[in-house]
Amino acid sequence: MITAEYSFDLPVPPETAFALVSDPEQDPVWQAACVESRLLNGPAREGCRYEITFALVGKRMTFTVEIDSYEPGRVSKFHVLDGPFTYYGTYAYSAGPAGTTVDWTFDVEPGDYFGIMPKSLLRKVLVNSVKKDSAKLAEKLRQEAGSRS
Amino acid sequence: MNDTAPGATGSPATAPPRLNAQQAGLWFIHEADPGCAAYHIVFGAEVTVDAESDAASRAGRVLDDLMREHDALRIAFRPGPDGPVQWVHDSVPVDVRGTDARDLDPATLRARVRTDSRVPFDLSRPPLWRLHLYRTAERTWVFTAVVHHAAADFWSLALLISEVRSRLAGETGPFALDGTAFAAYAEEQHDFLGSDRARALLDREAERLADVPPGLDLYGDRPRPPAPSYDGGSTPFTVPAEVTEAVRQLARDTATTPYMVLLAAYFVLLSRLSGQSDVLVGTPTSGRLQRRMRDAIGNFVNTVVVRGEVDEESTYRQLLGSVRARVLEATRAQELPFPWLVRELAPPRDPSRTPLYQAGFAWDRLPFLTDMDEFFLLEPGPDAGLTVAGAALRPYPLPQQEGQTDLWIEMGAERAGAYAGVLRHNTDIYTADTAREIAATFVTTLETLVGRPDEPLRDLARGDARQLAGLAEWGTGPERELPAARLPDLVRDSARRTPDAIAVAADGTEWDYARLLAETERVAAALRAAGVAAGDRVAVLAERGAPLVAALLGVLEADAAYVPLDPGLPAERLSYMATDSRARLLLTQTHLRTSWPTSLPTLHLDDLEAGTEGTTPPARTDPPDTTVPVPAFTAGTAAPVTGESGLGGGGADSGGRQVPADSPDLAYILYTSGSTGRPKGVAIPHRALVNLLLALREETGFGASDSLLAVTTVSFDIAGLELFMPLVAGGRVLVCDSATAADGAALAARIEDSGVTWMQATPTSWRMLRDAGWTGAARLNVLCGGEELPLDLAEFLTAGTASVRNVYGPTETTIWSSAGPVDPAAGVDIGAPVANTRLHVLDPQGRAVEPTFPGELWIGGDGLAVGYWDRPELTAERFVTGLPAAPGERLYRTGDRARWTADGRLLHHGRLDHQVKLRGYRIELAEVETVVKAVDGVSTAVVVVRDDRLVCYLVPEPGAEPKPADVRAAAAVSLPQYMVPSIVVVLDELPLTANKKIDRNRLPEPAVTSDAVFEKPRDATEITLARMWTEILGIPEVGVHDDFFDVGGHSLLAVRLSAAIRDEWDVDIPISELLRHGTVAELATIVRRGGQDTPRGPIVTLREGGPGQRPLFLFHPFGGTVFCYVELTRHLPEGRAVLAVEAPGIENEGEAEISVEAMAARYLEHIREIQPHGPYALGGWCFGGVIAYEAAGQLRAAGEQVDLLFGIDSRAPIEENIPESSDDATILSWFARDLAVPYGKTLDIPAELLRELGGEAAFDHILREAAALGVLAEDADRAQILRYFEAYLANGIALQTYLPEPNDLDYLLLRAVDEPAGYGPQLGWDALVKGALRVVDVAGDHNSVMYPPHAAVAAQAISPHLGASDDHS
Repeated sequence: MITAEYSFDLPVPPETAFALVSDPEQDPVWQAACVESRLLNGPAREGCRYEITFALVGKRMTFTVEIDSYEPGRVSKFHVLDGPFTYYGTYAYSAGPAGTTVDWTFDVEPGDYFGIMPKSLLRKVLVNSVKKDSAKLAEKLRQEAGSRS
Repeated sequence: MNDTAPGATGSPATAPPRLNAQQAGLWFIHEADPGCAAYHIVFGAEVTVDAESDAASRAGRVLDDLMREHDALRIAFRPGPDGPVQWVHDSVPVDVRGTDARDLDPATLRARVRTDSRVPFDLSRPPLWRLHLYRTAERTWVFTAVVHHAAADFWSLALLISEVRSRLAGETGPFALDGTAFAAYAEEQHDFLGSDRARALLDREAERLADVPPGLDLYGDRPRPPAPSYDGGSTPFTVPAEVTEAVRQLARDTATTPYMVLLAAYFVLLSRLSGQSDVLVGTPTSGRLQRRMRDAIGNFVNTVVVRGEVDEESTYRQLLGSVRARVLEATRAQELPFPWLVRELAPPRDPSRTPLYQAGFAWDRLPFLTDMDEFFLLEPGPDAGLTVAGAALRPYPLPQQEGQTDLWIEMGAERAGAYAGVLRHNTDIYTADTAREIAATFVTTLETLVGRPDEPLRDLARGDARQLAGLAEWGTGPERELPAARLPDLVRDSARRTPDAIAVAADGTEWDYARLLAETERVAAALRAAGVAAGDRVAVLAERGAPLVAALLGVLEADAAYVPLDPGLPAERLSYMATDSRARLLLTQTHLRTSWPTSLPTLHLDDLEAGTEGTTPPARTDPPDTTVPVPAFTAGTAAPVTGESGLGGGGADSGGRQVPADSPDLAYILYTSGSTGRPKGVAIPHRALVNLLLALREETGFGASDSLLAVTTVSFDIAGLELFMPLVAGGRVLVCDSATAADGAALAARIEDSGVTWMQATPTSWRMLRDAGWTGAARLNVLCGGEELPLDLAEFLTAGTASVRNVYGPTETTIWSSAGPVDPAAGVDIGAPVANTRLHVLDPQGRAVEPTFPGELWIGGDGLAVGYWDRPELTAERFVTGLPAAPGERLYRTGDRARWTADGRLLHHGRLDHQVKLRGYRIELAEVETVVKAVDGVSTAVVVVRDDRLVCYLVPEPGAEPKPADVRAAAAVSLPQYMVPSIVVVLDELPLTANKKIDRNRLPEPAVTSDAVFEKPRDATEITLARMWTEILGIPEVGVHDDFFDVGGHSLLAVRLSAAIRDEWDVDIPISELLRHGTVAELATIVRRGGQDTPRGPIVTLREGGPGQRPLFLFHPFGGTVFCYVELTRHLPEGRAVLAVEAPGIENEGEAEISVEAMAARYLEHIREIQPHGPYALGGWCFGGVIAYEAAGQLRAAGEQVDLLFGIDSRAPIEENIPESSDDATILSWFARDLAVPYGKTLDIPAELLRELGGEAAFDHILREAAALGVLAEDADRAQILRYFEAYLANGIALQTYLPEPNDLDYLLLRAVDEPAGYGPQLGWDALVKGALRVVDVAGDHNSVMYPPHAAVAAQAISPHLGASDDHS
């Protein structure tokens, strides 16, 4: 099992941040590795299922995921029902002086899906993806805020 | 005082005229050393102008006119694609400078003028001549004209002076100055050099100058620097009028010229100064062979090389005949410009010397301006002067053109019927005192030769009585009366005075004098009980320690002589010494007994009571001991020297000891290297040993409170001083164990811990200490001897210790014969003779040699050995009585070349024969050759010393293929380690001289060969180790499986390697470990193991840089390793350090970065520790060029400058260049491919196959395939290769996710032109680079561009951009 963690700030209130990050339909918008996402049983909520496809380190992988927890502005959790390997994810939100701090946690059991790639490297790949994606998202939100003011 | 200098700017130039080869040669010298003033032609005069005279303003107009009229005065040079290009500028103002010098005293003014005349020209800025007026009084000026020789020669300057005079006088000048002929001359020369005639002349020159000696070995006062500085001095001299007349007369008698007579005398002088018979002298010719060139302005002078052969058996008249012919031969080729000749002949070059000749002789005599002769003398007469247009001119002589060669004599001028000349010397090697002595000696030599032209040269004195006068005083040591007591008696005296004082300390054991005396007497008693009697020899084989000292003294106490045996020597050599000395008994220690089986009866120091073991001591069957003191012979008649001459007589000594009348009274027999392949024993009497000990005690002032750290093996005679001098003085000797003595760091610690006040060692050992980081010890007094003391080491030692004495002496004259304090500022000499010792520098006829000339050093006095043990012929050859310089004295012939300086210092200039001193050991090269020739499969062999290493060149027997390692192993069976060649080179044949002798000068540079399969370094640790090896061993490259000792390493270089490893990784590798694990690969393993606790940074030093030079940083390519840059670095210009940044994941698991931004940020942290601020130079191959781009962007954002940013076939990180997404199998396939690239091999493993195999199996498949292909070792470290792959994969991920914004940076792109993959002409960089994007095409494809031969091309493309570098500190 690999545990990847990362915290990032978004210049918006927790509720807005939650709506952008925890809604699976938004994943292709802000995650570079996410190719597509499709809700399978209605809007995002606890018990919602969705199908999501990633392209990462040369592999294209599709998962069916279920949302385990969905508390707008506070936390969302999800896990894989079906896919090449299993993962569990959490986004936790807390208000801060700059907007919202998002704590991302990702537990992955990749098996031998990534071949000889060391787990330490996979962890870095995952963290780096979130790091870059969240930085871009934050910048985009800052620019939008700037253009409104 | 105001200085003014007009700007010298040229207007746009007209078409460039060709320049001649002499000009080009001078331009190249100037390019190599832009500060060089050795080619400035200078004229000086003092001018007083009448009040009403308008000479000054008219002179200015004349000069303006001349400048305008003559192209030759407006030329300059610029670098072009094929060498320098000459330009004539349309309009150039005259460069006239002014200085108000009315407040300067004459000496200060002269110094100022001299300094100004040496201010270098910028050859690209006309005019290349200038005038300077120094106002010294209201109407008086000192005036100088300075011309760079590349623009004009002395003849041209004289033409201009003549022309100026005529125009000022309102007259038409005698010459029609031609300021354009120089261009036609160059064209004609160019055409001529392509002609058959020039080729024929060249062929003749090649034949005439074949096999010239590599250089003129002038023995200087200072060690010759690696590159000449062109700094010099001048000494004027005068040949007396009667000698001048004799020269003229001899010229007439021999149908020669005064020039030839003088040149012949110069040949004799140079031959005697150098000891060479084959002497080359450069002599200038005017180059104005055609009449129309007589009035031309420019530089036409050419130098020809006259090759003289001086045979001391011939007469001067005979030599003159030969010189005449040789001058004519040389002059025939005067149309061949010297720089061109050197290029065509390509003689072996020594960068420390000028090519072909190092001494010059010029005969300059102007056929015009005869009323100004005195103006061209360095010492003009007091009344010299003339008036021109109302201005009174007086000579103002200035030295010039100094330092072009080691020595240069210029003559041709004459005053009052006497030739006047000047000797110019290079101050790199000569002091002014010596130059004056040489100038005086030239005059003396000339006087002698012209006075006695029909006597053999060898019978003619080199100097005069004045020069001989000081020799006797300088060469005689203090006379002291020697006591009759022997060494044990002297030690007994000390024991009586201070029985409780510590005498010997070793290994935690301390013996006071009482104990030492008791042990000595115990040993002596045991020896006597064993049957040892006076005159017997006793072999002593013992570990270093107090018992060894007692053993040696005990043997002496028993009236026997000891034969010291070092347990570390090969058994064969030990046996030989014991047998040859006819030792009666072996005195040893129980634990050493088994290491050397011998039939000698043995007495164990640690069990003396047990008595002798083995056979009963043989009955004394030696020939009587009178076989030892062999006769010595005078040069002509044999005159036996009895043993008594070395004994001081037989009979009863002062202690009542009965010495057999026929006993040689020997103290010891010490074996040294011998030319027959066997060492030879030197028999030293008690008196000599006592004399040395008392003399050195007096010289050093060693007292009872002093202590000495003894570090020298007992088989080296100087150990005697270390072990015994402290005991004679009542002081303390600390016996250092062998392992500590051989390990610089350990020895430094011992010096510090022990608090000793004295230590004696060879320069090699002192250097070993320095290399190990020792900085000196304030209380330590140093004795340094056994080999040449280098100046830098002398400076180091004198700076860090209480005192330093250089000591000199051969074994045959008992340890040291001279000693003296070292003053590095005065240079290094070998000191003055010690008490009761006389030093003589003699010529081959046994006559004293005058100061400045080299000769052979002979030694007489109480230190002389009895002779060589059992070698009467050799003794007779080396110990001689009756030489002309000291008819009644027995002298030992050292074989060392020495020279007295003019002020009485004795300088040592190496060996005269093939005996060498290496790391303090005396080695007969012939002995090593004999041993190597005896090895199976070796036909012949020659051994030389190169860079402090013994190098053996051998020719195999037909059909044999001896391996160097086997030859070394075979030699080591019978030779001590220090005599085993470090490098063995196998040749098809040895180079021979014309006389069919082995030409040692033409032996090739030793190309180190190893029997190991060559494999390049594979990681940063191995790269760093390989770099250390190449730097320490001075070889271009090493493979990771080469053994340090097979490729030229030896124990002292191992010390340096150990120190370098400690500095780099803080890992201590003892020398013993280096001996066992001597390959780069093995050492890397030890380093990695030892360095685990201190993970190192990602910066790998590929090459050290000069002080103050900013480094070039190279980022790793795809994969993270940096060994790809090794070849590139070899071809980048020297000076700047080359530091490579490898991926951290290469060395440490889990460290790989997967974003370019993070990589760059992390790498910059390390880079800025080395270079905190810009400008930075960054670059890399492949992915390295991408990291460099990101790093440059980050530096720029931080406000830093980047002055060089380059990528070698790096594809820009843009969407279009990102390869299609690739999984781990694909990247693994690429990884396999790239493993093979450095080896020029191909390893294609389809990704599909790897995908199918999956994970570990796929990886293992790659390892097997790579091993089968020979690009990985069978036992390659899997974990290490896996780390490589992790870094590779991380790089791949990083590259796929890096899409930077354009940046305002300049970028130099080296594009591999043979790369088939198309990424556009600028590889996409035009989308990112907002600054200047320069694209340079280089040979090779994407991979081969970094490996031979293409890496050199890439380096060449980068080199111009590395430019000047300033200090970043």
